Amino acid sequence: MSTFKTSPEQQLKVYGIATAMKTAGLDANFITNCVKLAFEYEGAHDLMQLWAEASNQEEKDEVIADLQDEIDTHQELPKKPTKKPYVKFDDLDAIAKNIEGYKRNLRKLVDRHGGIVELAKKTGIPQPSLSRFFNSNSMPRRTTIYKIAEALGLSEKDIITDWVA
Amino acid sequence: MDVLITEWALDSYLNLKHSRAFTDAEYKNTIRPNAELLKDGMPSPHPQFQNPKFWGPATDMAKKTIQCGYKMKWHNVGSGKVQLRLAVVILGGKAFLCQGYVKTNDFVDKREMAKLKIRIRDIGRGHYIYRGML
Repeated sequence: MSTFKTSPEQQLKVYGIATAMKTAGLDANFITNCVKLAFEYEGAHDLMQLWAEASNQEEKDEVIADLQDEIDTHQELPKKPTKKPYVKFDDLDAIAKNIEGYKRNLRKLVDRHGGIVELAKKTGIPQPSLSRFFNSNSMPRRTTIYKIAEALGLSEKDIITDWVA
Repeated sequence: MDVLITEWALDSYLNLKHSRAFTDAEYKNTIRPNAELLKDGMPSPHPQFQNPKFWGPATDMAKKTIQCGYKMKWHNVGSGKVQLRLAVVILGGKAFLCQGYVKTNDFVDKREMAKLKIRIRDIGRGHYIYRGML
C-alpha cells in the first residue's frame, strides 16, 4: 500500500509556496529540500500549505521546524522495518536528562561561535528548527549533529552521544 | 493485534515527558492501559472505541478522513489539564503508535495530521524504525 502521494495539482501549488518562501527569506537549499519532499509526500505538501496559511510568524516557524525535521528524518530513514532496542518507560527520564545535558553542552559551543543566528547561516538549517532542536528533548539526528559539527569545526569526540535518532 | 512503538512515538514521548504533559500515574493507570486495548484488534470489542471523545478517525486540514489514521484522545491530562492525543496508524493487521502531542489549538492538530500522512506513506512502504511492542 502506498497512499498519500502528492497529486500533480498539489505539486503545482508547491511551486507557488516555494516562491513565497524565497520571498520570505528562507534558505534556498531548505526550500529545495521542502519541494523535493512535497513532490513525493502529500503530508509535506500539506505542511507547506499550512506555512502559507499560517496567521502569524510563530505558526510559520513551527511549520518550518516540522519541515526540517521531516527532511532530516527522510535522509536517515531505513528502507525496511528496523527494530532498535526497547526503551522502558522508567528509563525515559534518564534518557531525557542525558539528551538535555548533551544539548546544553552543544549549545555552549554554539554560543561561543556566534550563537544560533550565526549557526543558521553557516548550516542552512532554519533558525526555528535550531531553536526547537536546542529547546526540546527530541533525540538529535545524525544529520543535524554533523551539520553543526561541520559549521563549528568540531570533532567526532565533541559531538558523540548515546541517544541519536 | 501487534502494537508497535515507532521511533517517532518514542521521540514524542520524550518531549511530552520533558514538558510534563502527563504524570507518571496517568501514564501507568490510564494512557498505557488505554493504548494496550488496541491489542484486542479492530473493530475493538471495548465500548470506549465507540466514543468519539476517546477514539476516532484522523482527519486532515481539509477535514478529509485520513485512511488508516486514527486518534486516541485524553482530556484534562496533567497539571496543565491539556488535551493529549495519540496518532495511531492501523495497517496490515498491525497498530503503529506514531506520535503523541498536546492539542493546544486547531493549527497544531493540522500540522500533526499532515505529519501523520507522511508516516502512513512511510509505514506502507516499510520505511520505519520501531522500538518494540506494547
